[in-house]
Amino acid sequence: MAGVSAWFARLRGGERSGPARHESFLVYRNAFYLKVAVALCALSFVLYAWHDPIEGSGGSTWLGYGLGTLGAALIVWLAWFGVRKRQFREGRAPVQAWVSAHVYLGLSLIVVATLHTGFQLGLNVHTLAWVLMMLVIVSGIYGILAYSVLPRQVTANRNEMEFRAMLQEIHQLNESALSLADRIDPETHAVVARSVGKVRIGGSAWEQLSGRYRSPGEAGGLDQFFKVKRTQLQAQAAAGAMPQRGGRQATIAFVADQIFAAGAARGGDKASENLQKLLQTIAKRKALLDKVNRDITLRSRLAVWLYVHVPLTVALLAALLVHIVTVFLYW
Amino acid sequence: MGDSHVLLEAQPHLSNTIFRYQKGKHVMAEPNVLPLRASTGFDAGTREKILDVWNTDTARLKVNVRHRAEVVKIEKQDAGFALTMASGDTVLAEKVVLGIGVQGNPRKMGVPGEDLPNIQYQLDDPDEYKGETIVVIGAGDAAIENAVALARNNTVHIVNRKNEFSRAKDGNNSLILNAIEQGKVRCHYNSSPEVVEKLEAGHASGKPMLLRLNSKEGAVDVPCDRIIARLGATPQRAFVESCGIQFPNQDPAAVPAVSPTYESNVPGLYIIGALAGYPLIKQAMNQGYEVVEFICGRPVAPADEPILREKFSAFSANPDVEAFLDVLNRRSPVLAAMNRLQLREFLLESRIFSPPIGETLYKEGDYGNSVFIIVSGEVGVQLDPADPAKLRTIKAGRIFGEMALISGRPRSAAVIAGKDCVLIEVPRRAMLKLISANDRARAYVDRVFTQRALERYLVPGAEDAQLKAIVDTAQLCQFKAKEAIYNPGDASEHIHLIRSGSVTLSARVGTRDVVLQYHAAGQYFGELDVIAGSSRSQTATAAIKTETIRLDAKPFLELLAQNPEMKATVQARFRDQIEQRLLMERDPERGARMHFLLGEGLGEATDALLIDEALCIRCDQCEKACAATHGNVSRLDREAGATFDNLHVPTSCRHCEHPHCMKDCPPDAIHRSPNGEVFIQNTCIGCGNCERNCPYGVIQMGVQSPEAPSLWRWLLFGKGPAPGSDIHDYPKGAIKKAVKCDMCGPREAGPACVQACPTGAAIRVGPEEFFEVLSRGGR
Repeated sequence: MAGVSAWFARLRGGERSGPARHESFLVYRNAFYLKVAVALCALSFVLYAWHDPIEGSGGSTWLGYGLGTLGAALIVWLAWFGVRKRQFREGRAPVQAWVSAHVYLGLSLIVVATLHTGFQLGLNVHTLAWVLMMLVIVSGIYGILAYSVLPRQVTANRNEMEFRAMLQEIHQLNESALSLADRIDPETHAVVARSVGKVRIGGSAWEQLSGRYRSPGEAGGLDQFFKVKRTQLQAQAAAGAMPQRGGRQATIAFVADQIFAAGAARGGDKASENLQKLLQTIAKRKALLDKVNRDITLRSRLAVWLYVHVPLTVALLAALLVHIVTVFLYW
Repeated sequence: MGDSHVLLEAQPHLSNTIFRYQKGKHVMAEPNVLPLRASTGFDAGTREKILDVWNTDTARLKVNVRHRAEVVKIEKQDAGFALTMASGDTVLAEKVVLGIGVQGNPRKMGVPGEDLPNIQYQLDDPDEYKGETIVVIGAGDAAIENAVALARNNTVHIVNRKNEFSRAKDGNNSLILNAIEQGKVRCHYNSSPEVVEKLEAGHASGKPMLLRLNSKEGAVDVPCDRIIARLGATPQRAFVESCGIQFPNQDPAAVPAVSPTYESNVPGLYIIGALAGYPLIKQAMNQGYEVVEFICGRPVAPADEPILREKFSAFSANPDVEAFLDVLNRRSPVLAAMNRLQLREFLLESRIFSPPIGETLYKEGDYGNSVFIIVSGEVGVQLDPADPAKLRTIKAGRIFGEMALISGRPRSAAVIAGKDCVLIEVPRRAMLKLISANDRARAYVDRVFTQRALERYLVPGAEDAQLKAIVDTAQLCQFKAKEAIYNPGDASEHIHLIRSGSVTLSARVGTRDVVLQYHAAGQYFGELDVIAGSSRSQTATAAIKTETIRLDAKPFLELLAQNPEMKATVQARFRDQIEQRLLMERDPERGARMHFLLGEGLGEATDALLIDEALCIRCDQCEKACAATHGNVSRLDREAGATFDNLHVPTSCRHCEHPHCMKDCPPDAIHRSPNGEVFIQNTCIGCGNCERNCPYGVIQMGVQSPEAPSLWRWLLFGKGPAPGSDIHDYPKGAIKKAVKCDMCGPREAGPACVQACPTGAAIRVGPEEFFEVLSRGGR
């Protein structure tokens, strides 16, 4: 009974237990790293406002060197996160703590590094490092926004279906469509086979990100074809569908044709039924394809920024190195 | 081998069970401690190697084998037995040894012509057949899987006695319906086979035989090349009982009791191997040797004699095993309930020890893997953690630790060793085996459990004598999953104590049922209405397969009336619960989430991985971390699994209260640690039973590798696998073993999946935390 009363005690009192503590990286440990970052920025501001060097603000004052060293250390440490998160066997801190610190301390660089420049920006390698850093931060801000908004959208769109299951179902719907078409006539089969061959999942990077996929034009074409086909089948059923025979027509052949026509008339019903099923199958496939493509779009939007963030970080590290080396060369 | 004998074998080959394993399968030789004493060899190795050794030895030792001799009847006669074969032949014998296992024979079609060639009852390799017309008979999972697999290269018909495939798993159901819809498999619904006829060579159909089906629409003829009937197996029990052998109870897992010389209740009829409750190959081989020696009057000490002597050596330099067993038999009702063979087996798996006074045997909150029997001395139960000096004594002869065993929940109180105590620690499996085979032992354990649960929870402070009136009314009730235990308006005559499983209490709010409370095993419910004196106000439903111990309300109310103090405690808790219930009723959303979680098996979970999909960025760090810390085989599948309201239950072990995977593990390699994690030891023989028994699909067969992919080589040069990759290209012939979540065992930073989650989406929760997760709506 102790267990149950403990649940309810927690429910009422809001007491939290260790393992189930469950919060976003943005508010991790009551947004501890946000507080650290704010303090860091505030301190930089105060020092910058108080410090009034004769030669004007910039990287070469004692404050400039201080902020520069701090900024460079932060950049290297932030970049180390890429390594840290892959060291699965090491460390005790949750990766979530690293993410939280990475986000807030990364943002604090806007203040720390910009004050380090003393707003002396120009067309040189030093400013290149600053620009690269700002680009990395901007892509990171996109990442934060994407991570806060998109996961719910992915879940909502999936509607409890797995990606693999959706692909499998598309494959099955394709097979069903083919076998239904096969039971109607060769022409329909050919058309459906062509549409199956044209099914595209995903697309170019731009298509994925924009969510506007180039339609292979199959949907409209198929609809049109099915409309014609249905009228044709109905007419055939109504007319008794006597095939044309040229040349000699022996009695036996004539009877055979009669039987065949009767069968075809009956079969015509069957064929329209199959056509109806085929239409439903194709519509279902279309809806599923849209869902899969939407999923691809959402997930690409969730991941795309890393393709900017990571390479720019590498470029930033290189520019930073050049910046530091040249500063000491011309000292 | 001078003894007159005949070995009757139903199949055209020996060792059918192993013969039917897939080619090249590795067979293990557990238990390692047990020496082999048969005249033929047995070492772990491939199926082929083992069969080869046995076949060679059988020929060398000139064993008199009669193949294709399926025994259908064993009759006791004056001087021995008459065994009737399926062919009608009879064999007379003085003594009979049954070593027929528990798997049973495949059920036949039961129609004329069923013995024609190309009619088979199993399918080893569907790719063996191409271009044939094959009829599969049956509508179960095996039939469906065969039909669909054969349809790739053959024309396949499936014959279903009913008009739907309701017996099959959901996945197989849609598999077969799709195949039928697409015309890959032709289905004959509402049909059953009537006769199989041989066709002449020149028949128009070109097929060797014709199956006539009896369907709703009349007779249907299907010419075919092959018939595969998958109609299940006839359990051995009916046959065994027809020989006069008695089973202890109706439990499907029950096996007949045998004497120390493996003799059944029918004199002269002996049982060895799995049918006697010994599923391992080596045990059965030893018994085969021993039973023949016994019958021929050459007494042998059982193979376990030295092991038992070793166990008793703590108490005497040169112990007489038999004398010790005699003493033990008299010491406790549980031990007295067993016959000598059961006792030996039981002790073989148990530990006998005498802990120093004051030693903590287990702590409150530990998960229990064992039950203790007090042989002599006494132990103390720490009822109040705040006052460790206050102990309740348990005397010699009684058992303790049974609550955790029965309910599958953590230990409810610490137990401290007393003066001069000698204990037997019985592992969970040995105890469960005993309970399922021995009604007397079961009744005793249940009674102790009921009494202790009452003392602890319902009427704290009551004495054994006071509780007797209540315990005497105890009745065991079983409920299927989703079955109602009581409904609103029913009379409140009982209190239920949950023996195993879990129960939800729900009420109708508006148009839907809202779950108000969830009770895990070891807890009780239904007492509120009893105390209030009203009829039932809610529905109690078994969340999973559940057993409750039902107690009459009357003696309970009488006890309360006599003890004002006891009444006050119960009343305080009563008020508490009413308050909680109102709280739940105000928030029906929480009830819906609860409903979902219970549906996903969290009703029996002790620790499950949940993912908040509002935070999950689908990076699969959790899976990678799992693979990186577990020999490059990830034990969790993040994407698979159900989702409700952004709460995702990935395919990952729930560490059930009564783990389904433990049910049938031949080498007993699955254990539960004191922290609650269920893990698989290296003694796994790769049989795959646990994988099949797990209802949540969280166990897989894989090969772990010790290599650790290099981060820097991958990062800087793009060479080799990335850290956290699932590495599947293991060496050919590597032995696949079962792998599952072990909650990262002793890992200091806790489970790697949770540690590696960058956004805080992955959490692990036990039942204690469900409510917390629910109350915050997965945020």
